[in-house]
Amino acid sequence: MSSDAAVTTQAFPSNGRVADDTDLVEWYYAQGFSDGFPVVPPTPDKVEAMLEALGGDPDYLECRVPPRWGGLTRQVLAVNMVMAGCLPSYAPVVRAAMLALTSQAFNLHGVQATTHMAAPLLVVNGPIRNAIGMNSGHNVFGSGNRANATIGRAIRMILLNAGGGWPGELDKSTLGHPGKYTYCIAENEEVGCIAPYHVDKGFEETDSTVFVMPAEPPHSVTNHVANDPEGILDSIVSAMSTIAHNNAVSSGHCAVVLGPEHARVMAKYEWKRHDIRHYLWYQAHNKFGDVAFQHRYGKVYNRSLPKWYSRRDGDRIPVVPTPDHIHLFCAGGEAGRFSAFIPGWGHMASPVLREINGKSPPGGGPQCVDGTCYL
Amino acid sequence: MHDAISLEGQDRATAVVVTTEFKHEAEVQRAALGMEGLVPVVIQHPLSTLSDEEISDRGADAAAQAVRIWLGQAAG
Repeated sequence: MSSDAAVTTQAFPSNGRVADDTDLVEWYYAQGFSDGFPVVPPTPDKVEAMLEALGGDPDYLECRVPPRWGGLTRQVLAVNMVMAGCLPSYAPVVRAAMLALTSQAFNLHGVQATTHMAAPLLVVNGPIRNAIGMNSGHNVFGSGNRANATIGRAIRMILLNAGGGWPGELDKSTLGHPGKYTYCIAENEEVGCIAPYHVDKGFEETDSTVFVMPAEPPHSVTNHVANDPEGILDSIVSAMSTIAHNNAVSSGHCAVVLGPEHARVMAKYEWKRHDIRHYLWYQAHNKFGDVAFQHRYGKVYNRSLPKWYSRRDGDRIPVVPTPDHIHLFCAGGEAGRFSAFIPGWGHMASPVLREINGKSPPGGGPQCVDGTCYL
Repeated sequence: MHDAISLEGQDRATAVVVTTEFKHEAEVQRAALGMEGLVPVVIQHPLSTLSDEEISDRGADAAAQAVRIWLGQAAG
């Protein structure tokens, strides 16, 4: 019998304790409590420390996680955070992110079960970023920072273990993407070229927030030539103006991340968030005939796009319905003239912005009217 | 499934349509939401590239299943 087989035949012990010589990493693999990477064994002392950071009361139900609708008690939240490698200081961010993800506007059920590749993208703003050591600079979407990596990983562990989003089981994503391991960044507010995202939405700079949006992977935008806003933004417009991503056919929200060198050019010409978002919205588009494949496969109307879009073949189809559907962030390292376009899932979900400690958002949160929600 | 369970809760016989790929999820949902007896209409996946004729066939299949569900003749 192989060692793998020996582990997998172990039943969960009735007294809740495993033998002292158990290889815990392999044991948790065998229980199926893993995203594919080894997990940190949730020993009682680590779980207790995490619980304390969450406010105690282990049976307190924070939310239920679709599509399995498993109850996310603080105990379950703490165990998953420990398994993901989180420090207790990350607890407020993960908790706030889960409450944002399970708010009705986000439609986590759909995000978990869809055949699209969307994964929840988290962007953290405010003082907590630096307090817990998040990376908002070089390689911000990549590896090498514990807070970014394990906060995002904890979200995924919860979506698997509590939400039941196991591949092929309830997660029907055809391809998925690497952000389904972890997809969490902090905004680089220190660049200072544009107002921080949460301040633009009415929070104070001293508030800390988490933004969540179902998202495709970042698409790199290179522009080493232009030294004016229009030139740089035209490259982002080029990345946006394709019929391949989900926004093109399903509308909804998207994100744009300006690298610091590009952001400084915006500041040099005194372009603000408002100007950047409106330029991108105004310029980025497809032709309806292209979105409809010139009706080669039958007459296409596409009810996923807003009904007020004109649908003649040569008409411009915006990539998203309004400039407010473009969520603009500044992130990344000081060197390099790169930005990124991040398509969303579509009109089926709305992003959610939540203050870490539960302070009510300006205006009371997403405003949903007739099935459409706005931050 | 949520809408169907809400409507059934108002004593309105409801047939929710899913494709074969999502049958398991429908079964998980009805259990999680407390309505084990809700039988879905299940039609063959995929849908998006079908011809008009194929869509008609799927529709006829769905209609027949829906009638059986509404009349209480479908097995879960």
